[in-house]
This record gives sequence, structure tokens and C-alpha cells, in this order.
Amino acid sequence: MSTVLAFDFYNWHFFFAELINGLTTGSLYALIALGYTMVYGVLKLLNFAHGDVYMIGAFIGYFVLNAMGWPLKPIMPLVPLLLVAFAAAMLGCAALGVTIERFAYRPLRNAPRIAPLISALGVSFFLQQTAVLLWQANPRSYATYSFHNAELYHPVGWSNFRFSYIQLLIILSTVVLMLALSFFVWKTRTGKAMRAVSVDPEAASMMGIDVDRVIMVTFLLGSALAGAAGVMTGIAFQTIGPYMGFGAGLKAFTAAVVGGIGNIGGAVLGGLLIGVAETFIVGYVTSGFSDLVLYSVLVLFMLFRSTGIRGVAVIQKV
Amino acid sequence: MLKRIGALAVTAGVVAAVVAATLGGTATASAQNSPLCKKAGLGFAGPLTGGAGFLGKDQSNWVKLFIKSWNAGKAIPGVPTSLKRVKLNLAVEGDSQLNPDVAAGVARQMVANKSILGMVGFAGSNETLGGGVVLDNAHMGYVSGSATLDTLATGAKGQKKLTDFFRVVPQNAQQARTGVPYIIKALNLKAGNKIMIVDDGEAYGIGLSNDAQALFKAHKITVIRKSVKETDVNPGGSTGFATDIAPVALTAVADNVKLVYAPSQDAPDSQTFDQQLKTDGYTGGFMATDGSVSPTQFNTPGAYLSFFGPSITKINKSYRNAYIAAYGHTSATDPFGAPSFVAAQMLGVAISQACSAGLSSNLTTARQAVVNKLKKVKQSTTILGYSMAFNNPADAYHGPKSGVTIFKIQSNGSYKQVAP
Repeated sequence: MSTVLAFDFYNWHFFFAELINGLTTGSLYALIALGYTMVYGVLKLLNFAHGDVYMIGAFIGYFVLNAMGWPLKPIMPLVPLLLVAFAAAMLGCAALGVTIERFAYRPLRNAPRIAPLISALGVSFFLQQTAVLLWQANPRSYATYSFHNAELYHPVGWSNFRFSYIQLLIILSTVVLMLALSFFVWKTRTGKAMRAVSVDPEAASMMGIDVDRVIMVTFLLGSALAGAAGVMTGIAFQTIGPYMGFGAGLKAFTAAVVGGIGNIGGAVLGGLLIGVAETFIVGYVTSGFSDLVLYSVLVLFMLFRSTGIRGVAVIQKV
Repeated sequence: MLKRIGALAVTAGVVAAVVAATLGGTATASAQNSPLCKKAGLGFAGPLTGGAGFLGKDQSNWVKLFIKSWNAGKAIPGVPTSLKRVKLNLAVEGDSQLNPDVAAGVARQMVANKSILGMVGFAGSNETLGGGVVLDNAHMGYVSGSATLDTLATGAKGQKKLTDFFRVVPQNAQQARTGVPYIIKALNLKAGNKIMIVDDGEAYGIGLSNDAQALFKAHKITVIRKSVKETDVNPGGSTGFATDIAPVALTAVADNVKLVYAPSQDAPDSQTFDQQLKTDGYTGGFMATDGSVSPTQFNTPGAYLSFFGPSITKINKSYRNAYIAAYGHTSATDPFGAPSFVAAQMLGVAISQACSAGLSSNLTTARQAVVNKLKKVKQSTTILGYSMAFNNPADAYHGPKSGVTIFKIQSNGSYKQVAP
């Protein structure tokens, strides 16, 4: 309900703080959006279970970190500690993604388009409710603030341009992961095969590409990135729970569409745009109806550019 | 002739006595043999899933502990030994998810169940508004262990008065009346000082914030009011909440407010908010309210909390230990659910009294009879350590003490009672 129009736009401290907040949130959306966009690019499937894979990643990170004494009695320094948590979440989610593809989507490869969509919704609820059964509905906290006297939240920077270590970690990690993914897609044989399958699976198959394997790798990579995003969310915003996947998944899906679904750079751009726009709307306009404003702008945007920022309209020859 | 008249009179007397005895006997038999009085159903409604699921589970567990103790004939503080207890059964546990629409569905489920004579719940004020009307229409009494919005019992402009609603906790106004003067004194707030009130955008937080705001303004303290959707109802979940809270925290620091007063039903949100403030360099006070009472989830040192019940250490030791033994040690420090035990107790006593008086086999009439008894139930004491009765309108009344406790979180995260 509250409007915050009273803010002075030229209060640079506020502006930069909100910009960094937006880039942080946007980075998380971008990481999740990459999974949506890759799967859509290769399979033309909206994988609605992807947000829940992200949730599972957050829980894996939580349990692994706690097993290593986080946050009060860590058994190793911060960097290896985080690397282990990220590795565990990414591996766990990669395995989960491959399993989902194998058992929920592959049998429906030749079914009408609506069938895998329903299957995706089913898997989403399955993961969400299983998490409730296994870990209860209680929200859990990474309690990052308790780690070394809130060391990760200490502000660094200069003058009005300040950010915390945790924000820097998230933004840089997203950039590194996106570059690694781009390298994989554009510079490796498997990446080339992925691009071929996304253009024409039948032709790719006739050229000797193992389409099933390519799709499996796509799920593996997308899910691993979602796992990383889950751990980052836990470390940055602390609270995780079985229902966290839906909202974040929806925003990330929107980011993928805005960026141009099927386009890796577009997904990242879309994620960052959504994150920054959302944060500025909350900061400068309204917190109560930020989604109303955000999605109204997006509807207008899509009316004028339905392929998204980096999407290309495909001419279908009949 | 006289002999015959005498014989007739004796015969008439005998017949009258037999008829009277038979009729009386029928009334007693109907009360005792009514299936509703053999084993009466209770319902429970609260959030069992979602971010506040742990609160609902806690309440539900206290209700289960009550029913187990009641049925076993165990001594329960306040329940007279002479009372003939009607056995109880938790017939339906409804997950209302703190959502008024879901709560209305849960209420319909309660009404449709022919064994249920009363319900413990709802947990939240918003869901009470959603589901209460359905229960009122069925004349089913419902006793909440945590819904604190003042106007639930009285009604307000555009909001119907809930006729069969009862609660065993003090309402928001009472919580504000205790919490605000305390924090003004504790932080030495003076006329002209700025404070910030951040509500959760729901009936609970808005109501409590309004009550507190009026009191702060009466002390000529400048109030900056904000509203942020908590994680549970925020479309973006914890990420969305963090996004929403960030500019609010920055404003609190920029405006140099002396206190942030933030009623929230989500304890982890209070934790995140308080920590965000500190990260941004905030040095003022932070006060949360009953919805955030959870020592495992909100434990930032220095923060204050007002709560509608007693400290966990004041709860009857035998029942506290029984609870811990049955449901684990994590609840050993959390007093949130205990009032729901008393809510079930009020219903148990009302049902037993209604049965003793003779309960109609008509379900609606029987439920109404329980409501009528509920209005008059008085417990000289309870496991909370104080008496319980309902005043008119049906708010909790338990003597001159307000029933509100103020905690301050210590450096080790524990809750220390600082008032009364």
C-alpha cells in the first residue's frame, strides 16, 4: 500500500544501493532463466518444474553447509566451504534434472505438446510436496548473518557506490557461469550439437547426433545452474522453504521470455532487467503493487516486441 | 367412596410419578445416549503448510495434547473434577494456509462434518475473516489461540461482526497498549522523534500497526508508515520480500528513525528485516510482535517482541514437559501454540456442560447450544497460569492483567521476559 514517491531520485546512495540490489536479484533470476531458455530452445517445452529444482538446490546447499558446521563452527575456510556447497547443489540438481527428463518428459517426446506441459506441472507439485513431506513446511534459514559476525554482509566500495561481499559474489558468479555456459554452447562439440537440435531435431538426428543425449545434457546444465541459484538465494536472503520455487520460477520464466526465449544472452539480460526494474519499482513507486506495475510494463513490451529483446522471429515455410 | 377416591388418588399419583420419572429419564437418557455426546468431534484450522506451517503444527500439537489428556481423565488446570467429560475426537485438521479463501473452504469442511461441535482456530486474523462467516452461518463456535485483530469480535465498517468467534488471547489493542508504552520508555523516545511502522499488508499487521500508530502519535512521535508483503504471501517468496524490504531499510537509516515497529506473522522475515537494517548501518531499536515469536527463527540480539501469551517458563511445567516429550525439544522454547490448548479446553468444557444439560440431536441446535455454553465458561486457572473467560463481545478476559508479555532477545538469541 505504501508509496515511496517521496524518495529523491538524485539521492545517489539510495539509487546505487537499489541498483546493486536489483542486479543481485536479477542475477538469481538470470541463472534460473538460463535453464528455462535452454530447455525451451532444445525441446520447445516450458519446464515448469524448473523452479522446484532450484528449491531443491537451496535445500541441498543448506544441509551440506550445516553438515560442515555452518554458520557458527565451520570446519574449513569460507571459499572451499562455499565451493563444496555449490558443487553438491549443482551435482544434486543436475542428477535430478536428468532423472526428471528421463522419466517425466522423454516418454512423452512424441505426444501432443500439451502432454509434457501437464507432466511438468505434475513434477513441480511432486517436488514441492515431497519437500514438505521430507523437510516440513517450516522455513529454514541459512543464518548467513551469524557467519563470522555478518562478514559477508559488510559493505565495501567507495562513496555512494557500496555493496556487500555477498552481492559481489552473486553477480560475479552469475557472470562466470554464463560465460562458461556460452563457451560450452559455442565452442564444444556437444554445444554445437545442442544448437543443431534446437534448430531441427530430425535433421540433427539424421546427421548422426544423439538427440536424447543432447537433451539430457541440456537438462543437466540447466538444473545445475538452478542448483547454484538456490544456494545463492539461501546465502543472500537466508530464508528458504518448499514453496520458494514457484514465485522465483515465474519471475525467471518471465525473464527468459523478455530476453527472447531460447537465447542464452537474452535470458541473462532479461533476468537482470526484471530484477532491476522490480527493485526500482519497489524503491521509487510502490511496494504493495510492484508486480502489477512490473507485469503491466511487460505486457506492453511484449505487445510491441513479442520475440523478446534478443529473440528472432522464425519464418515457418510450409 | 372415600376409599375409592383414595385408591384413585394413589393410582393417579403412581401414574403421575411413573410418567414424570419416565419423562425425566428420557431427557437424561437423550443427553447421555446422544451420539454427539458419546464422542464429540473438534475441528482444528490453521496453517499446516507454507511459511507459517510450523505455527499451525505447533497449535495443532497442543490441541492433540489437550484431547489426549482430557480423554485420559488427567487433571487439567481449571477443569473441575466434578465435570463429566465428554470424550473428544480431533475429527478434522484443516490447513487454512493463512489464506482467507482457503479458510472458507476449510470452514465448509468443518460444517459438513456431522461429528464436529466446535473448532479450534483460525490461527490468523485474515483467515478468520475468510472462514468465520461460514461457521457463523452454521452456528458453530470457534475459539482461536492466536487471531488478534480487534474488530473480529466487534465488527467494523465494511466488516461483519463474527458472532460465534471466541479467542483466548488478548486482542491487538491490548498488545499495542502494553508494547508501545514499554518501548517508548525503554528507548527513551521523545516528542518529535521519528519512528517507522512497517505492516505486513494483511489484516493482522495493518490492525496492530494502526493501534500502535495511534498510541505513538498520542505521544507526539512522528510515524513513517510502510507496508511490505511478507514472504508467505509475496509472489517472489523470500527473494521478493528481500527486494521489498531493501528500500524500506535504507529509508529507515536515511531518516534516522529511533525505532522500527514491524508486526509480522513470519518470524524469518523479522529476522531478515532486522539484519538488513543492521547491515545498512541502522542503530535504532527493532520491535516485532506475536506473529514473530519463534526463538529458533527470530533471534537477532537486541530486538524486542510483544506477545499475547506468557513466557514458556510460565506454562504449566507438567504439560510443557508432556509436550516436549511428545513433539520434540524444538518447541521447548516456543510459547506460541500453548493458548490453543486452552482454546480446546474451553470447547471441551462447553461441550460437556451442553451434554449434561441435554443436547439436541439436531446438529445446528446442538452447535448453538455449545456456543451458548461457551459464552459462560469460566476457568479459574489454565496451563497458561491465569484464569480464562470470555467477555462481551467474545474476547478473552482473564482478570486485571493484560496477558501481554514483552521479550528482549539476548546476545545468545534467547528470549528474556522484560515486562510485566
